[in-house]
Order: sequence, then C-alpha cells, then structure tokens
Amino acid sequence: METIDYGIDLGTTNSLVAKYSKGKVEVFKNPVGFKETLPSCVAFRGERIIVGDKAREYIVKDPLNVFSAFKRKMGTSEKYLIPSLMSYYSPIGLSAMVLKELKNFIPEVQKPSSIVITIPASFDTVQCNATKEAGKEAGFEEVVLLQEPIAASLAFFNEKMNDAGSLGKWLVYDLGGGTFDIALITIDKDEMRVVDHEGDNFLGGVDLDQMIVTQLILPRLKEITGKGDIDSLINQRNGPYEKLYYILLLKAEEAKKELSINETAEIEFTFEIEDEPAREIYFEITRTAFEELIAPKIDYTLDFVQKIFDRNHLSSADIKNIILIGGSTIIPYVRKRIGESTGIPVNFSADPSTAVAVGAAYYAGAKIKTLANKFSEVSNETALERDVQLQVAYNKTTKDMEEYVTALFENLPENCTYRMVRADGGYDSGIKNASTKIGEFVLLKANAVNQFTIKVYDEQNNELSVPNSKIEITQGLFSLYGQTLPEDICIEVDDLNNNTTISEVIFVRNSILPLKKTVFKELSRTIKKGSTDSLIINILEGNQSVHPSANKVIGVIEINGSMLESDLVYGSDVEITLEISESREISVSAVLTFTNQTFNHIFNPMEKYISITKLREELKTLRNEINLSIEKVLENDDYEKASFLNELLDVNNTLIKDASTLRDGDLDERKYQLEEQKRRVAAQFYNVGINNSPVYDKKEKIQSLKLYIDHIMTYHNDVPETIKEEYNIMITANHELMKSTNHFQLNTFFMKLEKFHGKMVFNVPSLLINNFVYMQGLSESDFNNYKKVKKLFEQGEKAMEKSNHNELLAICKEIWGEMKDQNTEIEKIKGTGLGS
Amino acid sequence: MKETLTIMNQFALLELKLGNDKDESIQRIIQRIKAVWEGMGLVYQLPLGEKYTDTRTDVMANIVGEMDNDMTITQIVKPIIYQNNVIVQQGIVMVEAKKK
Ligand SMILES: Nc1ncnc2c1ncn2[C@@H]1O[C@H](COP(=O)(O)OP(=O)(O)O)[C@@H](O)[C@H]1O
Ligand SMILES: [Mg+2]
Repeated sequence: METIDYGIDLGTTNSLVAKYSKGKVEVFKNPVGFKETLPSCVAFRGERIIVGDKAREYIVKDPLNVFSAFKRKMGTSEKYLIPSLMSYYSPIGLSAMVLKELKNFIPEVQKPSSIVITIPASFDTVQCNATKEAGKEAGFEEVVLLQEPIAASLAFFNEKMNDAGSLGKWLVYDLGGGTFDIALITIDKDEMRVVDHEGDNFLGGVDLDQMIVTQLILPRLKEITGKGDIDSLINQRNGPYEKLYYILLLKAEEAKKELSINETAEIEFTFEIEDEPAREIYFEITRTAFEELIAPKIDYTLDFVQKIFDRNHLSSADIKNIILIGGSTIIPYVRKRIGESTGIPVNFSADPSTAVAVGAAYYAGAKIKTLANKFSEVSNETALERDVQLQVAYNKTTKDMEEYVTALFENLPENCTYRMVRADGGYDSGIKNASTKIGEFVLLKANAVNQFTIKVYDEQNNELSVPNSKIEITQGLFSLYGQTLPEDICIEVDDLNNNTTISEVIFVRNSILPLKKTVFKELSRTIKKGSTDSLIINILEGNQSVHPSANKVIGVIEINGSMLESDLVYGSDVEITLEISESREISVSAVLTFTNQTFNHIFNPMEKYISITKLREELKTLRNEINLSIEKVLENDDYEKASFLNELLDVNNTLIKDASTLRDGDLDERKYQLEEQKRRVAAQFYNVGINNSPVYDKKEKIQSLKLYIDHIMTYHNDVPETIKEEYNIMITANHELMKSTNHFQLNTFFMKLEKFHGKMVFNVPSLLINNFVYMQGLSESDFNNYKKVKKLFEQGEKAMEKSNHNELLAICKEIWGEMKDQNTEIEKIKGTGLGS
Repeated sequence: MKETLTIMNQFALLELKLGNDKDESIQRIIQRIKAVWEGMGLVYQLPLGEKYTDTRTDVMANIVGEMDNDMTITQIVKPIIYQNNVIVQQGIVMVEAKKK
C-alpha cells in the first residue's frame, strides 16, 4: 500500500511543500531563488499570471491586479475581478494557482496525485470543501485536510507520540507574518484533537515592522534631519518619502531579526529628498526599546489564551506545554513573555517557519492513499495521443539584452499553459495560455550563454514532454564570426619547488577574439630598488602543457631594479592585464601594487621581443634539464638517446657562450638568431620522446606514488579505516585531475598525494617501521649530524621492541630533521619573479 | 556558505558606497577580492541603472512612485549573487519609472 507522502502548508501569507521519505521530511525549495516559502500571492500582469515573490512586488503599486490573503475569503462567495482579463477569479481559483506553483517546487518529474493540505483550526465545513476544491483544481486527485495546530504538534513530537509524558493538553501558539492563532489540543494514546481555538486574522510580524518604523526610526530621523513633516508624509503614495518608507520597512524587518540574536541592531540608510544633498543616517536601536514597543501586542495575544482557559475551565497547571510556531515566535521576548506570564513550559524545538509543512508531510507519510495509482494508465493514454511538437525561432547570438523568441506548436491539447524560464533562475515569463503560435521577449544575462526551457502544462498542470524545448542564446562577448586564437596564450611563472618555470594559461586556444583578462600574481622573490635584478613578465604563445622555453615569446616586460621607486617585496601583488584585439594586437599592463607603478606595453604580433637576461636564464635551465635527462637515460642503458642528448647539450653550451657576449642595445640580429636556436633546442628536447616534459614527469611521479600507496593499502593490514576512507575519497574526487595535461593541476594533486603519504607514515605502524629500517640503511653522508642520528637509531630499536609507536614516531621525526636535502647540488634557477 | 554570502553582501555595498570615482588602488583591491571569489565560483552583480520588468527573477523589487512600462533599478539593498552561474541569492532593489 502506498502512502501520500506530500504535504502542503497553504498559508495566509506564505505557503510551503514538504515530502516524507524513509523517516525524514524534506522541505522543497523554490527552483527560482531557492527559498522554502512561497508568498501566497497572485498577480495578473497583462496576459501573464505570476505567483509568489514577483507577484508580491506589485501589491502596493498595482493593487487591482494583485491578490493576497485570499485564504481569509475561502468558502465565501467573494469574487475577484481581474481588470486586465475582464473576468472573475474565486478564492478557490487563486489558491489553486498557489498550489500549482508549489507543485513546481517538487523536483520529481512525476508529480504526486494525492496530497495533504493544512487548514486553520477555525475552518468550517464550507471552507474545508473550498480548500479541497482548490486542491482538485490544481490537479490533485485526492486531497486530505489536516488542521494546522495538529500538523505543528506532529512536527514537534512525531517520534515521541506514545511517550506518556506528552499525553494531555497542549497549546499551539502561532504568530506568523500576518495572522495569529492559538489552539488547545488534547493528545491521548491514539488521538490528537483540537478542542478549542482563538485568533486574530490581522496581527503578525508585519505589524511589528511597521511599529519599528513609526515609533523607533522616525522619531530619531526627525531629530537628526529636523524635518517635522516626515510622520504625516512617510506612507503617502507617490509622496516625497515613499522610497524611504519601503527601505525603512526592509531595514526594520532586518533589524527585528538582528535583535533576535543581538542586544542592539544598526539602522543605516541614505536619506535623500529632492533638491537636498543626500546624507548618511546611522543609529542603533536596542532590544530593550524593541521589547517595550511590542509588549502591548504580545500581552494582547495572551488575552486569547485567557479566553480559552475561561471557556474550558482550565488553568495553567492543566497544560503540559506551549508549542510556538510562526516566524515571529523566534523573537526572544515572545518566548520569554509567554512562558513567564502563563507559567507553562514553552517548547520551540523545531523551526517555527516550516513546522506546519513538516508536520503535514509526517502525516502524509503515514496516510494510505485511497486512490489507485494511476500513473501507468495515464502514460498509456498519452502514448495514444499524438505528441506535442515544437518549433522555435530565435537569434542564437546577440548584443542586445533581450531577444524575441517565437514558437510554433503542433498537436497541442486544449487549455494548455506555458512558461519560459532561464536556467540560472534570473528570468521567468510567468504562466501564459499556450496557443499554436507564441512569442516572448526573454531577458539575457550579459556576456554569457543563456539557456532557456519552454515548459508546457496541460489543464491539470502536468508538465508535457516536448521535444526541442531547450534553447540557447549567447549574449555579448562571444561573436559567432569572431576570429579564434590559434594557440594558447600563457604567462611564464616560477615553480621554484621544482626548480623550474611553467606556462600558466591565460587564454586557451580557440577562444574568440577580442579577449581581456586580469590575473593577480605574487612576487616570488624580493627585487631591490636600483639593482640589476629584474621582474620578467613573459607572454608566450604555444602550448600550455610544455615548458615555457619551448613556446614562442610574443611579448615581454622586463622591470629591473633601476625602474623601481622602492624595493619590490616578496609576496606583494602584481596585477597583470592582458588584452588581445581582433587584429591580434596584444596589450599588457602590469601594476605593481606595492610601489604603485604601472607599466603598459602594446606588442604588435609582427615584431619579436627578446630579453637577453631571459634568454640566458632559459639556456641555463635547459642545460640543467638536459643533464638530468642524460643521467636518467643512462640508468636505463639507453645509449642512443644519451648520445642524442649529448649533442643537444653541446649545442646548448655553445649558445650559452654566445649569449654571454650579448649586450643590451646591440643592434645586430644576433639575439634573434640565438632565441630562435634556443627554441629549436628546447622543442627537440621536450618533444623528441625523452618524455621528461614537466607534465609527463609529474604524471609519472603521480602514477608511481599512487601505485606505492595502493600497495600499502592492500598489503599492510594495520592501515586504519579512516585513512583508507580518506584515500578513497581523495582519489574519487580527483579522478578527472589525474587525466589533466595542466602542469598546475597535476602539481596540486601531487602535493596532495605527498601530504597524504606523510600522514600514512605517521599513522600506520608497520610503515613507520619500514621507514625507520630504510633510514638505518642510509650512509653517513646522507645525514647532517650522524653522531646524533646513531643515538636515535639505538633509541628507535628499543621503541620498536616495546612496540611503542608514538615513541618511534617522535624519534623518526628527529631523524628526518637531520637528513640532507638531496636537491642541494642542483644549481637553483632564479626564475621570472612571478609566483605561481 | 551563509557567512560567505554575508561578507559578499557587505562588500558589494561597500563597492557601491565608494561610487564610480574611487581611487585606482582601491579599485584594484576590489577587483582582487572579487577575483578570489570568482575562483570559488561566486560572483555578485550590482544591477544599478538596469531596466526592470516583472519577468526579472534575479531581483526582488520594491516599486517606488508611479509605475509605467519603463522602469529602472535605482537603488540596491542587496546584490545578486551567482554560484557556478546559478543565482543563489536574489538581489533586493528599489525600482522607479524613468524620469521624463
Ligand atoms: N529571526 C526572526 N526574528 C523575528 N521575526 C522573524 C524572524 N524570522 C522571521 N520572522 C518574521 O516571521 C514572519 C513570517 O512568519 P511565517 O510563519 O512564515 O508567516 P505566515 O505563517 O503568516 O505565513 C515575518 O513577519 C518575519 O519578519
Ligand atoms: Mg503559518
């Protein structure tokens, strides 16, 4: 047997929908704006119907076409005239619109056909039937009603229902945005029942906001500005203070919420009226002042409690608990005052804004559907019908901020509605009647690919599946016919950990011109004012995954010590803006934020730029790397490659010698030739299958470290579960990363792996022992202070005998501290000065 | 996340307060901070002066004065915040008819 599972709080001001599943309740969020609450408000704007937040915006300005609080009119014969449609809507019809909109909050494709809807305890039979009718109109075939105070109680002690301590009489006190309700309920072993209720349909949080404005803010404002007429003018429509009034209402609600947490709240706004300079207003209001202000209102609500007591011949002692619900009961004073004045324990353990919806869902989770599940039948029926077809016409790219979309439907059933929404949540056409041909101006987000969906609903508000209903419009920037970038554009940054530099991509290949981007870098070393040292901003064209020296230099800015106004300090910011025009002209501007100096250069792609310093540096790096590779291939007895590398090394050494004779300002072409030759050597070295390009190298390192860790995971039986778990999570999360060809990302991942490996050594006893034994096997020259290390080895042996892991760990840490850095012999490169 | 949004809200208002003619170095710090958020997929937008219609669901509007077909956003109480190109916070704005 199936349960209903879905529950709706159809409120006077706000409505919510929630679902019960496997013992838990989830309150759904509006796919636009992600709020749980939907204002119970409907607006008719021209031919479109808007429900919720957007509709509420027009309450004040277009009151004839906006309807709210219609819940108060449920079950009456009241009809609302819609001027723009020249037709009437009943409170039932309007409630149905809210229910339909809530249906859209439910992410499941198959919307429920049975639902629990809550009603106030005060609703009579006619009002109940009206609510059911609204549910049916919204497309629910089975509607079960539940009283709000009961729903709230369910939310509070759903799990403890049979707890003897909770049996007896309870009060549910609901102070929301616009209404106040109080209900007396009894709970016995198998029943929860509303015995009596009272309330005021025109009292809630909104009134408190208004009081804050008129009684706490305006007096201060009068004092500060000397304007005595604010009081009388403030809420005048189209008056001089109208805008201020709305702002103050927002500020008041904000401050009210702030005062639920803190002792004081700030009121801060700009006071602006025509012909006068704007002035900033700032003051604080205190919780004490707020409490004094609202005390009479809260006492007024307590009168209702007394009425209920009198009528039922009860006293406080007869009541187990008061449950507080409704957003306004978050106010600490309300909680305190109710408890103190009645002497009854106050319970506010659940979220007061969602309790009713949550309770409704709990109830729905236990309520068996009486309706046979009709899903399968329905789908058979629709299969017989011809599918709706859709043809859409629109401009795929535009520079405008809006675009006209037309669509032609075929086989459209009677009385369908449609709606267009933008995927990011920034546009919603509202609900409109669908005809064979429709047209809509859609709004676009600037410089982005805008995705829209055309949703079509049948009479019961079930979404129909329509092919081709997704459209994409590209705004701004990306012109379809623009030229593309043939290769990656990179800047060269230091990777001093690995004693090299890398190409960091700024614009990827195939991006459409023109392009502009700003990146922020930190100095990787200090450059002294007046020194010959320099910061090099090297703009490269080529492939982001190869070493910078194998890429073409298309622009370079060299900022040397003599150009600096003060020392350029390690860690300070460099802001680099790179712009490429449609004619491929490259402008670079570098701002040194520390010295506040700006360097602008425009590079024409027809010219070449060569920095001698840079050239020398690169040749040196190349020499180091070739040397390393030679060692490596010799280890593998690959003499052929070794001899090839030796030849490259010879060429490179000649180039180094030649470069040393170059001088700034040389007029001949020698430096261009040298640069060209260097690039050829680099390209041969990095591409000829020696396979120690930085990327390949990293990948290899990652692979072997991972294999090693995998091995430990399988063969060491003392790896803690938490470590295993952490490893699995890390590998899954970085799965894509491992396939990357970006040196940057690979490096990050490698560092993560290394760190994790370190952690393993700390946490896996057998691994620590392995490591200790390994270190014992090293030679004297591998350590700084071998005498000390020898002593530590002895102590470690003892710790091992005692199986004292922590002691061994402490000893190992000391030994690690004495190990010599293996990389010290390699000549350190200086780098560009730009950190990565 | 909530804290980040609060910081972004305050920062966006700070940017607004500083106005258009802010010092170049201040502008730079602002851009730098925004770049860090952008790296986290977070972007805020200040739609000041933009056209307003009832199909805009990226902001919640308070309409001031007479309504007509040509409404403009004249003041911002909260910015629009995007996370990975989806709106996570609707802006709160004041909207007015264009002065003729
Ligand atoms: N933290 C808070 N402190 C004080 N008031 C709050 C707080 N949070 C929400 N509210 C107020 O609660 C009211 C909304 O309550 P809610 O139960 O959603 O309304 P309703 O049941 O009438 O639809 C609003 O007036 C709001 O200002
Ligand atoms: Mg309520």
